[in-house]
Amino acid sequence: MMRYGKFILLAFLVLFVSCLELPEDVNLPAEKVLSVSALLQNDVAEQRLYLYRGGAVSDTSNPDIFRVSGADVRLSVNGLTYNYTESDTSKGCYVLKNFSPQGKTLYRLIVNHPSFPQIRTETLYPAIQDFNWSYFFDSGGNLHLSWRKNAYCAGYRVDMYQWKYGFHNGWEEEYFWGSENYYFTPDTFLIIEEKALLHQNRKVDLKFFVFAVDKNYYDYSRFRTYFDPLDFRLVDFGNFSTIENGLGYFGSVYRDSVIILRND
Amino acid sequence: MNIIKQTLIIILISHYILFAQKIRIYGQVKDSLTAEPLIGVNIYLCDGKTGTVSDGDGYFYLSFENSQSDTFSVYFQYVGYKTKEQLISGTTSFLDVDLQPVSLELADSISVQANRFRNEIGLSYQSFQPLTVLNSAALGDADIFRFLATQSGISFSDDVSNRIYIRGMRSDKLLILLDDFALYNPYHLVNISSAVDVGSVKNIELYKSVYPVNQAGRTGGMLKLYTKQGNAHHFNLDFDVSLMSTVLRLQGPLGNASYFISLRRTYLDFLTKLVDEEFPYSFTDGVVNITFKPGKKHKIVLSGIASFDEFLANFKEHSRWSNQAYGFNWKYYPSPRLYFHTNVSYSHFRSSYNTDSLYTNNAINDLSYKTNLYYHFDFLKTTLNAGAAFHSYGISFQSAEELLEILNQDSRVNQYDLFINFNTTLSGRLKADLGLTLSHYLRFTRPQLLPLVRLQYLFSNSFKVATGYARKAQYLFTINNERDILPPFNIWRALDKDTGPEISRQLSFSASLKKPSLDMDLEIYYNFLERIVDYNRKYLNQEDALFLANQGESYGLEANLRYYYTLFDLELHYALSRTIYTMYGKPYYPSFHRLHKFDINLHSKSYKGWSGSLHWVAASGRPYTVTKGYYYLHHYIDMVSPTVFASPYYSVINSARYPAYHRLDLRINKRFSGHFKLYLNIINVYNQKNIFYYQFNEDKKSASPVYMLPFLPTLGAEFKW
Repeated sequence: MMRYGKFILLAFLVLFVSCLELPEDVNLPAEKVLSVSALLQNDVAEQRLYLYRGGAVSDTSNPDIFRVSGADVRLSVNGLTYNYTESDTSKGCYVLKNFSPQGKTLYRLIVNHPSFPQIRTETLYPAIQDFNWSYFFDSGGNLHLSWRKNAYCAGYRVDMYQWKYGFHNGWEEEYFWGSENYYFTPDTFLIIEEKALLHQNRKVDLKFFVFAVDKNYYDYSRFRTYFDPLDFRLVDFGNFSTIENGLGYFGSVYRDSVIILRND
Repeated sequence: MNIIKQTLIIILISHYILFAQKIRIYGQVKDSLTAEPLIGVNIYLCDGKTGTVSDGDGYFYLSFENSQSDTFSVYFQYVGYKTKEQLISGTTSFLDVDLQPVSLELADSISVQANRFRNEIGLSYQSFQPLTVLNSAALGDADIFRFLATQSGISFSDDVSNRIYIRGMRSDKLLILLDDFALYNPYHLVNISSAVDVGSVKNIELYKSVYPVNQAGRTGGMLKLYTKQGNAHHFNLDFDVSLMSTVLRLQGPLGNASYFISLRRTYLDFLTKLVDEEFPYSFTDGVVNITFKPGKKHKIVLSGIASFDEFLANFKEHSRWSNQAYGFNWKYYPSPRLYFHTNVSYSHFRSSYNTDSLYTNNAINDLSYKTNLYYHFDFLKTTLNAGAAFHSYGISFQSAEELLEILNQDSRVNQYDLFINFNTTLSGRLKADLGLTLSHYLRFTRPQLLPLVRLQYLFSNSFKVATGYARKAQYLFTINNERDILPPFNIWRALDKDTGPEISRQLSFSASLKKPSLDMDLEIYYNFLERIVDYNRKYLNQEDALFLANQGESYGLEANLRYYYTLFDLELHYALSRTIYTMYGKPYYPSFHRLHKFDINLHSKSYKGWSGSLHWVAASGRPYTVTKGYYYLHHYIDMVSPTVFASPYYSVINSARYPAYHRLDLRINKRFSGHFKLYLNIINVYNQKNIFYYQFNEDKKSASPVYMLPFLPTLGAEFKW
């Protein structure tokens, strides 16, 4: 046995040394990381982009103090460049006024800030098309609603829907129907029972929205559902990012709606 | 002169060949009190080189040349029994050997592992007596898996779960067999204990890697449990009450047969009802074995296990799961050299989780047929083992939960295996196992060739080295990666063409020294996980792959020392290991990985009815993913106005470790008579605060440590009639 003592000792030392290495944590400290929330939309007066820096675990819970101002934010499309300007009233909120995104178009975003690495990201705006709404009430008063599936450029297909119903007078008193007010679904129809269409036993007007989103925002929404650390999860931890050198998303959405008037 | 020398040598050799007698002895070794066959009994001659061990039914076959005398002695040695010397004369002998167990008092303190005879290839192999498990400190009931975690090379995740991780392999890579049928999720609530009552088991065999070719289907090791066949002479009754459950064990003769039945149930739900309270959880399990001997050459064993768990959080939320496995074994010995073993079994795990509106149903069943042939050749003392196996797996998972419905499946897939193995003695010192399995899983076009080579060289009667290589394949896996989750959600899934089979290559080398009161061994291993399948942790939409084929490797060193002293047996185990998996091309430590693990096991001998055991473990902390902070994102829930959410910001996966883990457990037994025993278990004697995990606080931005088990004493009692 002793003859092999040196070999055993050597093997032990080699193993011992090789086992000491730990995988390197290459993720920057939270304070050094920019997070971006930006969504290009078809029916808004101004496009908005929010910049935050990350916070350490012991930091305060007030999100406003993590807003990052003083960034240079540029959107480029088809050789043209547009500059976002920081809102005077909301620090860390950058706006681009009077800008309407076009279907099947690639938009590139560059964010420069002296304290953070440069961020580059892009979104492919969904193909805009008619949702081809149709609906009817059956004899039981149940609503049957259908629409055409929305196909995206780049071959990516996803459908995302929302509906609301409200009173007829200008929609100021909108009331969300059900506990969920949006759905991701591959379905192209919806059947709502009559009793669910009543508010205080009165028939009310209905307004339904259907969305077409790009892959970035769709993935972010799924991530938000899947990665809640307090919930049961199949998956391990991950930081969400569709952008280089930072966290968050730069996504886009096309929204359409239909109003069904049926006020008593 | 040379011609004379050569002539003399030829004459001497001829004399040896002509006059040396070929001796064959065979038979069965049993317990003298119960007639229970004894597994792994050392059977050897006084030369120290010739020997064998008894098989799973206590049978053995030994052939050798004898030119020295007409009579010779054969020794039968087994831990917990008096060594028997039997005088043999003649060339072929059938031996029906009864070994006498040591006294009941001593039986309280048996701790020595039943190590195989030094002439057997014991590479990466250990055998344990259930009595050792029963007399080790335990949380509630004695548990096989928790006991195995006190051995080297076997890691654990935390105090609550009894999942074990052998040589860097996930828990689903361990083939768990009970009487040759596979068990899938044999765990009770939160994996707190196994569904197999240790007192129903007569032998525990563990292959950490390079397990024999007549079993297939896992890329890691194999755990074989044998149920008791029952006392063929007398009726016996045991009754055991622990903190967790009560267990009743019955055994006795049944005409020409014997039976063993155990029933175990938790009782807290009954007790709490007495004070008008509700305890939401209960389990029941049982083991049955009926053994017939229709003739001297036949043996039929019907055995099974059933376990039922129920968790009723309230009327709207309840969960149930069960293991049921039944086997039919026919063993036929037409001649001393030939042995057939045919097995038909059905194993089923089923679970359901229901709320008032949602459901999740999870099930796997395995219908198997296997036949084995063993033949002993005199040439090179070779034992041939050949056979075929068929498995039909039915897997079903149906969930209405949004997070789980992507895993819905309902499939059946078949697997065919052919195997052959030669166990041969190439010289007096060199033994070899050469085996091959041809395994065909019908979802893949190409069958897998799975070779096995094991070599052992005996330097002396006390020192040997061994090495082995094996390639293993696995076609079913659980999707929960390293995460220990509740058994109902431990989802087995059949692999398909997208990922291919899981494949591992295993290599190990061992050196062992055995002295009368001292065993030392050292083993070095390397497991290359050529393909290991993971749930895609970044799965977000249907265009993403649900499962990914990744790689990994694990290597390390295990050193064991066992010292058998008059008053106590002492075991020291040290394991150094490194396990790295890759995910998305980046390496990481799996969450069960412990760089160092050191175990001390001490079992005292009985003195005036007192006995005890102690286990101390010190191990590196587990890797975990650090919450480095948090970041804010806007989420357009209604797609109109954004809401700000904080999300945790993590480090690279498992790039940090919890503080080192250490804990001392103690067990004290006091036997008052042959019929009654009291025992005290103390878990975490010095109340070490080992970190279980960091729990996110409600703000989702900070985390606080949650500790594992505190100082926890429990009392139990055992009755025997």
